[in-house]
Amino acid sequence: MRQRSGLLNRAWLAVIGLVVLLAGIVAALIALGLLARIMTAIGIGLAVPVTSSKVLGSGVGAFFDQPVVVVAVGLLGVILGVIGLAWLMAQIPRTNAAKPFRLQDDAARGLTICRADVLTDAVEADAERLLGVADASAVLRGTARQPELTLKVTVNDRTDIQRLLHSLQAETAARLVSAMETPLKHLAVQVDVTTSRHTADRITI
Amino acid sequence: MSRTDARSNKLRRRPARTTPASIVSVVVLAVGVGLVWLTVLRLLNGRWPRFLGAVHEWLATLTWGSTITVAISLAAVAVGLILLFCAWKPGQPNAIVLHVDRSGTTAESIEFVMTRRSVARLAAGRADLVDGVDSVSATVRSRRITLSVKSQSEQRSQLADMVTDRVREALQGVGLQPMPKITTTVHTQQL
Repeated sequence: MRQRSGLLNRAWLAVIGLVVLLAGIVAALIALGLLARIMTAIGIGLAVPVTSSKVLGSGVGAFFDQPVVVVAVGLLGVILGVIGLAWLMAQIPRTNAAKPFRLQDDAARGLTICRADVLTDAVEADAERLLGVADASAVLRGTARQPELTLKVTVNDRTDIQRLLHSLQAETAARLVSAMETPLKHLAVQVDVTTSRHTADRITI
Repeated sequence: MSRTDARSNKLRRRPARTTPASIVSVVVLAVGVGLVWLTVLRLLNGRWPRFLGAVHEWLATLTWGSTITVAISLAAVAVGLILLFCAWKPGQPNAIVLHVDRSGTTAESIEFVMTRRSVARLAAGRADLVDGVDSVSATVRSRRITLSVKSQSEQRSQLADMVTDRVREALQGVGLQPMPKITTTVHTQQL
């Protein structure tokens, strides 16, 4: 029901993984003395460090004392901090529900605004009346002209699931379509099974 | 970024890699905050903090061929491979699609799914109803359901066949698509 940032995570993990892997490979080739041999074999005349040379050059201290470098380090820190924080915040699952629907044809005649949760409360109550449904939750997305309904129903393990899904289509979703006076662009239903044998007002024996 | 455009994603999805992403994002955030803090100290005091000088002195003694350098570079290769593996490996989908008759539907597109955990509960619940089964646990992957049954019966293969048939009948009634292969193993418990 809630949406996560799977594509973003995989993209950034791939980019960072590739950068770290390449840096590690180059460092390992230098450390093992192989990079110089590979460069010579390929015919590239670039100067590369040898195993006996220092990792840090002698001018590193003076380089980092320059004012422009100090500011650059600070800016880099800010950029990395913002990226890290934004990426961390993106891990929070979001409902991404629709904003309030505007249900008027012509604004000059008046405004009719309907919050999505008013409709989803009705859909949930409607779904929970169906036989075998222990709990239901709904999210409405999209627009007033192209609504998208996502429904999660929790049923017990003896429920006739095919009949339930047919009822959800033919009755619950149909009543929402009638109320909104527009067909659904997308209907998604997730069925969860519980081993509990009771609902608030019914016990299955 | 999680969507903010009020559009639906598919219910059946691959793992979002939230755990490795959270770890790496915390590391990036910590590095960023650290760099900002060091810069502020440098600007206030006119020189870098003393502990950085000690780090610089230690790094200045390192050569490319030293053991520590080799170890760090190999560790970087390992970390890079792990991150690439996390990004590339699709992982098991969280749910299985249900085939449903579209008659009576009022939507342009539909998606009906059941989570793998729920399929496991359903399979275990139906298997538990078979006479002779004491307890059962079920593991569900996208194309295979594995049932582990404990029983006091010595007729393990017959019991396994009965459990498999009962669970297959239940899952066919649900409409799983594709229908996973069911494997049942019966363990006889000694009294």
